[in-house]
Amino acid sequence: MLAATTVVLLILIALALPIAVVLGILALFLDVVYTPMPLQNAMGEVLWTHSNNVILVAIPLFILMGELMLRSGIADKMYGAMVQWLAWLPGGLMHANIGTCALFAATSGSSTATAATIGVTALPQVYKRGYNERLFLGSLAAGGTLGILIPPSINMIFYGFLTDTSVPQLFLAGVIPGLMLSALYMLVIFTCCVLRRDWDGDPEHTSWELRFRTLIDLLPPILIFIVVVGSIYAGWATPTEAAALGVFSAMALAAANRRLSWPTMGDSILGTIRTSAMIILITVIALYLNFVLAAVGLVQEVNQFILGLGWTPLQTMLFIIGIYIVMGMVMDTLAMVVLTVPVITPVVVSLGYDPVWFGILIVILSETAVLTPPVGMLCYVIQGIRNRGSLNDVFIGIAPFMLALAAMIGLMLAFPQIALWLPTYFYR
Amino acid sequence: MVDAAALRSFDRRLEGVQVVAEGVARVAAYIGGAFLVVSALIVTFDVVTRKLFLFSIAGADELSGYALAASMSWGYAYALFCRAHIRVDALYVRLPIRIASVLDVLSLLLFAGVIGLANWHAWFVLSESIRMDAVSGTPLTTPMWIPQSVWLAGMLFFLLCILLVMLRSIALLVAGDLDNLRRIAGAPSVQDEIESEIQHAPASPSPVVAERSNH
Repeated sequence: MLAATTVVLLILIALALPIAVVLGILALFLDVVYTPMPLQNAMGEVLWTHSNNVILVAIPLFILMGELMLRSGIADKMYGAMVQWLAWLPGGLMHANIGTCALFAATSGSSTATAATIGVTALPQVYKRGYNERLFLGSLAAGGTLGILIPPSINMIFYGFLTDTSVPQLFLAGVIPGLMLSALYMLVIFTCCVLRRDWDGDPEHTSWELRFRTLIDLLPPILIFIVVVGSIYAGWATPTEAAALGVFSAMALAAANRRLSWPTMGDSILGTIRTSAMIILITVIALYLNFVLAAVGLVQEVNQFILGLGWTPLQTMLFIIGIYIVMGMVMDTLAMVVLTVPVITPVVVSLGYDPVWFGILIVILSETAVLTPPVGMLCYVIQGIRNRGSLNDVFIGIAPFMLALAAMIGLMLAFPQIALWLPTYFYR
Repeated sequence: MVDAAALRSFDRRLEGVQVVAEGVARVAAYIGGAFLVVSALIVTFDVVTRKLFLFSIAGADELSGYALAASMSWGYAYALFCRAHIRVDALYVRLPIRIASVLDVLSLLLFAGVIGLANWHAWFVLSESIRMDAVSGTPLTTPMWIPQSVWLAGMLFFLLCILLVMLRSIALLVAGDLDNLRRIAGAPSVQDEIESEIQHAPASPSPVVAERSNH
């Protein structure tokens, strides 16, 4: 069953079918070939139950919050403040790129939204201030990845739903790795610019007076982060309710900046429906496939196959990481996660790994996937904003940041507590 | 022998239908999005009053679930016209346009099959709810046929839109008009993706004056 299913899956992927179709056909195939019971009869019920599932409401609401935030006009001011606080380091504005992305990530659940927003603000500076263009582009693309690691994160909701893992715990688990990865990115920039002085740009004018005067511009994103994430941990709100609070706060913030208009709302709504309809269709069909997978026992078969290899848990984990890195080069992350996680997670858990920890690892691997060529969504975004030269400049520019991601994966393997300390402290 | 000119004119007539369908999908997306915004506001109100004044509106979460079902099922068609339903195109982009075009048509055929089946089973859910007079097991006791019919109608509209694009792409494939086929049914290229991301992020944010609605 395992071999046949893999072959069918590869054929369906090679045909470039929409992911929702791949999942649907796979479910039908397993149902027709491997069970005497007509599982299909439950299809309508499964689809309806998940189509109006309150937990899934969080996905479009977090997407809407991000859409509103990127139109709320706070990015410019945030960037200005971050320049004051970080640009005195060797590497100058590139630290502000990472810092602004990290902070913006705290109000947005998506990588592309983060990279696009900060990219539009920061990119004009590269020519004015004489930075090494490739490294600067790399810092923007790499910074964008923080969007899905620092909560709230749409990818974590998606993972949590597919694997029945607690979303609040996943959010908490992402905080420390997110901050560590930001620090590692900044270390990369620092090292590069100390080694190669000419990669750095003209120094910025910073002063303590300006630092304190701009501090207020960092306040709105921090407040939104506190409202959204704080309300979950205070026990006041579920992730869905927190997302609703986030939408309300983002609207209030846009209104305060005099950016809340009918066109803004309309654009945000269309962007939200476009992205979330695609994600939700995949999700409800994936959940039907999950139901079929459980009924035919495929998960157990994969489990036995991997345990039968006789590898140590670490060897198995390294093998899984390798597979994800290769898949991430050619696949969209959403497709990668939805096709593998429901089957792989039970295996990983039976090897003794924590599902929350694995969720964070999957998010870090997804970050790697959105950067690696040839299919590297964030690099496309940055290249699109730059709109000149070759896409290869961006791919070369992210190379040093790959070291930071590799280091982060290594640290996660060596010290699982990086992810698990906060959720353990709060929940266990 | 099929006449290519006749096929093209068939396609042009369907194009007119698609313009209407896209208009409907866009309006549906606005309405669905408005549902989501309103339910976000209701849920916010509920959380705040629950915490501060210790009373709770019954069923805010249930309503947001129905808003999800309605806005997403009606949004599927909008995502289709935006070509946002992602495909793994690693191999596809390296194929000659002839083969890639066949895959575009195949994608739509199988999409129609899967969504058709989903509609079929969704219809059973609705008809069962009507037959049993099913209501939700919550304080709201919502008659289930109401949210379920909105949901099913959205999925049915999605199916019709897939069939429409499918018919057009078959006509264009047979007529040999592969450029237009790719435009309506192809997986977005890197260039398309870049453009749509940029459209998404408003460059050089212009100072928008907060408008007040007069209607």
